[in-house]
Amino acid sequence: MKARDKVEFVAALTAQLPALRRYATALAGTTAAADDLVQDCLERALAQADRLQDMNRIGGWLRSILHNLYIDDVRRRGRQGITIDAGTADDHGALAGPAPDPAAGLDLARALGTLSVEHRQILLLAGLEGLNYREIAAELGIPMGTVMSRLARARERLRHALDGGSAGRPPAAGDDAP
Amino acid sequence: MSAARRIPDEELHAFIDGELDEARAAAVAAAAAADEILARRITLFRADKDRIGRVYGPLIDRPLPRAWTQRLETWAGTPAPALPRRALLATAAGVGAVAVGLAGYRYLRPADPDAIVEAALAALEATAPAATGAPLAVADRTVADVLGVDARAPDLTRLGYRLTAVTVLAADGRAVALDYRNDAQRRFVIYARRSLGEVRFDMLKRGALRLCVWQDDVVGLVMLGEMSAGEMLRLASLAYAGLTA
Repeated sequence: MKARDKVEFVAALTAQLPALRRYATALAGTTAAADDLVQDCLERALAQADRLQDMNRIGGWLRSILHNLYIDDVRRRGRQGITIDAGTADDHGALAGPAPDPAAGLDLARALGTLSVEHRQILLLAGLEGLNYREIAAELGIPMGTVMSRLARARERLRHALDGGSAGRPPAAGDDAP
Repeated sequence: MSAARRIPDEELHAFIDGELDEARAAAVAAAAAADEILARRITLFRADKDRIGRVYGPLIDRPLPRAWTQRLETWAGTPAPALPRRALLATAAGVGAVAVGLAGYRYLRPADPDAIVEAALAALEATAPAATGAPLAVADRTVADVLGVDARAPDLTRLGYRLTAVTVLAADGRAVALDYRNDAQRRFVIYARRSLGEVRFDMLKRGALRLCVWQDDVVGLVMLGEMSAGEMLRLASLAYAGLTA
């Protein structure tokens, strides 16, 4: 990569880091885990900088790298969800933020932790990153119909986890189905 | 029979996300008005979606670990004199965008001893907000002359902001303030000067003001405005791209 391209790449990457770190925190559940993920993502992004074709899409490109790293980590550890320990709540980013109700943040983090990684991912892309369905489909490389069905299923799961199944519909079999 | 049974889940969530066309959205809204269960489901799902943004959204304001930006600087290397000036500017980018119109910035100044931020805030005192448009061509020449690099005034119209004033800050030496406004008269100001030397990228918040400080060893930018972190990042990215295009 040319020096000038390196400079532009680093500038674009730097601008994405705050949002990427936020996304990682919501995905992984703790600030410590998120920072490890972002650190690894940063290294991989630098190693693969030549593969980024369109600088305007660097946000999605970084999230894809981070997501793949997280999947690898989950598989390596043999777990699916995330663990939120109320005793270490200070370490949890959601509670460190200016949420009007810290308990609500903890409840949300716990509920997200019960979901599959794919469901957490699509909930965050729509609810946190503000992507529309077309953008989500492009980023995940799935059809729009799959985006819609996966998002609907994920929201049902989240509602069930937040409310003990009294609202929305109870989870159906095949949680990880799109 | 509940209308909820007639509205597929996918369509219900597309309604919540504003992804339905007008006719279909109206049909879902009418169904919800006639069905308490459906209306309750929409309310709950919408609240859950909002909750994600409310709980995690503010985390974007956390300062980045210094080790990360240092790692990036190391990887990019120190811009060499042989590099095109535009590329140097990109790196330098001590972009300071100062969004003005911000009553109370004087009150905030003592809390921030940061040199470039101080200089940007001071520039606001010398910058009278103007409602008239500023020709981009003139602004381009001014920016390039003041900074001494191949730069131009960023065109932010894609995000709804129009350049309204360009002020050369004599007291600052080689510095310029670019004043933008959107249709709602919200102001966004870019304070740009030769770098003060410290390579950095920071998002700061002072009361209602949000600042993005982006500096390398050639140029320093401070961007400031009363806006969300997301909007600031979008504007900062576009400003950077436009400044170096």
